[in-house]
Amino acid sequence: MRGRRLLIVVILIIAAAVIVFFRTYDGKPGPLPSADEIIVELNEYDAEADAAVVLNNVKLTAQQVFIPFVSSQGIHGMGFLKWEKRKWSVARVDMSGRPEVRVTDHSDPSERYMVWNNNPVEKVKEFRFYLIRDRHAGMSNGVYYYVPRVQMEMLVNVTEHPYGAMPFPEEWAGIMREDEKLGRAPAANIMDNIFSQSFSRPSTIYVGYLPVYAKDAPQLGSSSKSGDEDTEFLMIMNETDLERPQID
Amino acid sequence: MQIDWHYSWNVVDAAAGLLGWLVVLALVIRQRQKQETRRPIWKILLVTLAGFFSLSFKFPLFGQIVNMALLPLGLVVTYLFLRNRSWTDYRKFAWIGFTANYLFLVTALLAGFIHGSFYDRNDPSTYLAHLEKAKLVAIHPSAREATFDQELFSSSLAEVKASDMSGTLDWYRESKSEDGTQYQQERFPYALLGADARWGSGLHASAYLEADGKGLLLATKDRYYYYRSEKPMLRMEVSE
Repeated sequence: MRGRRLLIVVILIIAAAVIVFFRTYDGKPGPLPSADEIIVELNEYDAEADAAVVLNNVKLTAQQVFIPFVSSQGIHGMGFLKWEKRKWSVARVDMSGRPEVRVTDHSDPSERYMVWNNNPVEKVKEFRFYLIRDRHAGMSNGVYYYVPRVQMEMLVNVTEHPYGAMPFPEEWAGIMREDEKLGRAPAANIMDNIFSQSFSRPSTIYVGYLPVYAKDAPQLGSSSKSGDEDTEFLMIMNETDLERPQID
Repeated sequence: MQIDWHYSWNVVDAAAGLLGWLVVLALVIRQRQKQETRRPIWKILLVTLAGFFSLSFKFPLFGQIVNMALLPLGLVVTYLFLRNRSWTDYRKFAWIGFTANYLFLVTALLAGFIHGSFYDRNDPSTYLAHLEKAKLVAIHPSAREATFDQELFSSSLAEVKASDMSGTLDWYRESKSEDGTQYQQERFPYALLGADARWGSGLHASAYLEADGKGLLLATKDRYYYYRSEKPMLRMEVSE
């Protein structure tokens, strides 16, 4: 009697485990759907997408694909497919096509891409991407500190690459890792903060971009973006945000 | 597979923690043998562990943050749970658990002293001990062409002198004031990435090099260090 009951419990547990496994199991990525199927899926995900032409599919990782597309009205948008639970599904659709960062692995700064799908109407010649950390100096808790400014640049010729996915430069990721190592707060609660000797480091590191327009570019309104958990927004920068040292 | 980038062992702390738990275990076993009614060992360990939980606060002592246990919370809870049953058999073990807090306080302090004598926090080579994977990165447009030469760097690192950092605000102003010669120039335009601290220290510093190649700035969690060298620590591009 007791043995039978135990058996039933064990079978139930195994059954539950199997169900949970198959509900969350992603499996090996299968072949990508065809361009037509992708268009249907994008439009199902977001009725406003109105996708008409898929320009390309760019594999970011084995499970994540970037789909630059054009709508029937000529709007340039970006779709992102993710292999999840044994099928390709749309993770996000962006209708501005303006640059953003796509994070493919949150545990490592190097696992991210700059993605864009520029509308030729905007007449952008070049995107200049920047990794920026502001300079800081002073004294805190009797300790002098100085945080050097980081300003690293990466140029993309938009005339040649109207859309693209560019992996994050390894050097940028290296700087961000350094920042994370120091920035992790060792203090866990308020009591710790009162006595702790580590001081608030005001350094924040961010990625921005500056679009360089052709002379005859039209004035365009700004667009807002909303993202999912894998999106990081880029700061739109001005020439005055940058340092241009005189090199003698 | 992704390794945790922040992970760096503090061997002394780990050894002190292990030692602490071994002592607790020894105390528990000795106490169990002294008692007449021997309760199952797993229950005893559970009670000891419960006794370990306490309301505590952290405060700095000898340059460390130590954890001082105040109220034996776990012990009280265990008492409420067992008072009508077998409290007398478990009482001592709960107290061993609570006392373990003070034992760990002592071992942590001891570990701090030992760590300090093993690893000199003021010596830059503690932080920059392994340079095989080190890479120099220009982090600012004012950086001139320079290359990292491990041998040159190591030999000059051995001769650097700790230098005054009280002028950091002036460094900042030099880069910001429009009529200065250093306007929009970064004082430390190079970062040295991928250097590891001495094994087992659990320490880490971000390293930056000065525009003339002769200054080294180390940023750690607790403070910054600044060193100057007589000769350049990098191979600088020859300016005509």
